[in-house]
Amino acid sequence: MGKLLLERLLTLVLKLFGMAVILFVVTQVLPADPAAVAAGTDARPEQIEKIRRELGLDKPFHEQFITYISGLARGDLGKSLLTRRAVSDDLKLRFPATLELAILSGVVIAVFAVGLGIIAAVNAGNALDIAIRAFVVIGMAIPLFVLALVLQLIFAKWLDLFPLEGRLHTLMAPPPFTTGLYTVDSLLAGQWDIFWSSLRHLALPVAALALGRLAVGARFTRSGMLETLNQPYVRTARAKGLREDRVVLLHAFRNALIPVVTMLGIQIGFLLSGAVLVEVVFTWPGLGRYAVESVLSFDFYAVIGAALVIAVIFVVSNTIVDLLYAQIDPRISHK
Amino acid sequence: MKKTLTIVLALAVMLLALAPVSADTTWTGAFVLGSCCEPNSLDPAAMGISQTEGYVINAMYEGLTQYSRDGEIAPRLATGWEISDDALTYTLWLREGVQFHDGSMLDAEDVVVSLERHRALGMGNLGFILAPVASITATDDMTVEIQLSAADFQFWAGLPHIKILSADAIAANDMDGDMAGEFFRENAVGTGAYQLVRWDPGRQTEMAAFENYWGGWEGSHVETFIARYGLDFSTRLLLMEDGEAHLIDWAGLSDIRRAETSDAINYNLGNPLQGFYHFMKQDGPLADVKVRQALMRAYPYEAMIEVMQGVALPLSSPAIGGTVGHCDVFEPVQDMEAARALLADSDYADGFSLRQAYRHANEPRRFAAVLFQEALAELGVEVVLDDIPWGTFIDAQRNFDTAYDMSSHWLNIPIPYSGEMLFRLNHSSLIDTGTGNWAWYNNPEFDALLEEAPTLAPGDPRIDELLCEAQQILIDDAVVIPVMLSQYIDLTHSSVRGYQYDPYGFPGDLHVHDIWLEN
Repeated sequence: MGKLLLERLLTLVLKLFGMAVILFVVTQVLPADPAAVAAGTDARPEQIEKIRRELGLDKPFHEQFITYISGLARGDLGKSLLTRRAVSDDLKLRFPATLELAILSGVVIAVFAVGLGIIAAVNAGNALDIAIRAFVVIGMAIPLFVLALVLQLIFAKWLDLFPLEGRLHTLMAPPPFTTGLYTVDSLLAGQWDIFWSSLRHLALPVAALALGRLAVGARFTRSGMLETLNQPYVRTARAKGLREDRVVLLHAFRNALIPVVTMLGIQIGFLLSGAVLVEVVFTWPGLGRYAVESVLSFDFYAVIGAALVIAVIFVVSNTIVDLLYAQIDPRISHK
Repeated sequence: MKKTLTIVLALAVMLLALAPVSADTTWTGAFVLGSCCEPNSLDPAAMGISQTEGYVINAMYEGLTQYSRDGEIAPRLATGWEISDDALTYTLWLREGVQFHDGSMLDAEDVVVSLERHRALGMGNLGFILAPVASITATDDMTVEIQLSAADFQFWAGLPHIKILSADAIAANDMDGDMAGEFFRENAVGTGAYQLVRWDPGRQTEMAAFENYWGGWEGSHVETFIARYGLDFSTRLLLMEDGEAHLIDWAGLSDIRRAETSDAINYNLGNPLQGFYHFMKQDGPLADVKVRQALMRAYPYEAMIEVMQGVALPLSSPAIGGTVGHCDVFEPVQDMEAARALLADSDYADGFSLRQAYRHANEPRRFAAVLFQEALAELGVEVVLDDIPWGTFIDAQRNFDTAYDMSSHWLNIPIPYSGEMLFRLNHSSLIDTGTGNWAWYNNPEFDALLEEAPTLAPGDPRIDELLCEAQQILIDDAVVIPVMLSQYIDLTHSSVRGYQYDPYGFPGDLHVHDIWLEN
């Protein structure tokens, strides 16, 4: 396992370097003037030139490249042209918002995808299975942005059960920063009203984010379970007189887990890399929205910084999935 | 007896502590702005003309002067002033008893340091206002003398936009001679009615009523002012319908339609200080003045006014009506026959093709592009429309060879002075900068008129003469097509009372102190 981790770490560094180089070159050759965008539409020429100098955009390409890469080696992701803060500071502010959304969505996806998949497989062919399959098809078919807007309209606007947008009530201050996750930080600070508010604000974005992905997960689980439920060792377990729930959960489900874990690992990567549409619709100040805003305003260093964070998330989540394989199925070795 | 005396004294102390807030104050809750965009700095020295940081900065900071309701320069932190006959020396007397949010009291040193800081940092696009200043001196504790190197009308007209900061806070937060630039990017220490509570980047800025505000708190006011960021248009409208947002900035034409069908939403038209112009690069067919004149006559002015649903007015000059130096030199009427005749008389009677930059997402610019394209098609002129973002456009416009043949733009002016707009439209110094004069117009006679006018003393009739001549030159040369004057649109919730902008302010010059919420 140690060798696997080391190998992944080395690969990650190489991948990040390669990505940084490619992104830097691409952003530099784009026909755009980031200093003019940062200065605003009514800027005077001297103001644009001042910003260009301050941000080092007046220097030749190779100088900018060397400065950026050497900064990157020291963990300096550069300065955002838009917010004028260090990109790493911006990411520290934005990433916890996405992380909180992703963790809760991941839990919802895992619980419901596995649960619905098992129920559908056990009841294959009957009404319950058909109902779950119908839900799966609908869940997969509805575009995320449509689902988000429909949820807003029904549960926030008409029924007034959940807040329309944001992470917290407008009149509430965020809890003292410990993890950046409002639910956790408010619990740590004993601020129950903020905990409750942040939990309510999570409801609709989590639902929007989780529904489509849990439908995919349920489908994976169902097909995996159907395959294992027909295996000889499952029949043997039943013949031995084991209770059906033990047969399903201990014998069949464990062996159906590999594809489910693979799917969940990929989903977690997607969730953490920023559910852009959900963050935009629900005014969620996370990584995805930051990336979109950066792209739209030609904020090159922010774009590269966000892309690198997303790359790290994907590699880490895939590595965790690989490590889980060995735990689930001892026959799989990482040698 | 001793106990009673103690209670009386304690009550007296409490009353004194509460003294600045009048017993007649009625707090009406939190006023929430659903803003399109988040500011990148709270520093007044980084303030822009049309940027939304104006809402936040104007609530927390004040200038020495302001515009009165009838558009005259009126006292704010300065209670009076004297301008020398040669318009080179401005002496201002400061208001007594004005406190900054850090507890320090306003004096001449604060003004000197603030203005010097603004000049030195020059981060925003209001730097031109202080450009003619030669020296700023505190002649006594409450008197400031500002000496100009040359008379410049723009200085006095723009002074209301220059905010005063606490000199103590600047000194205390200076880092390596940055004049507290880093500190003021995320903090605020002004004299405004509202003081910063916190800025949560990506979420909102919260400001609370400053209890020691010199203007007092008698009557009804909002206790908290919150500017929320990152909300998309539909979310902002839903929030306003539910009474969770009270003001929506930079609304569009479609929002007017929405407001008209909702009892909860009103739409407001701000100051008409935003001109919409069509530029023609003097190259190829457009190098021929007759072709440019033909295009000027073919422009669908009336259709554009109609499209704007009552929020636009025709322009009778490249300058904006109501500003100093404006005069009527142009009749904005489409005349296709005259256009045909002019084109037939040119070297390009057989037609030609032009490339135009526009923004599809911006309704007026889209309508303008399509309507003009249709009009020119009747003349045998093909217009190829290219939808490009601002950053890409500016990059293309910095080079004559890559610049578009035509483009249309909104231009905001920060002061009621025609010369400022004319400068940005066509002064030759802006050629190749990408920030203006997208016609590549180079006329020394026009430049000279613009350079001389602001050096005259305020009120000198020659200002009008010089600027009028400059406007006539632009129309005769058909350099730029003045399409319309548009008004800034925002939406307010029906509970909002006392809402008003500075008469010559740009978006964000809102007097939050005057606002209260009903029910």
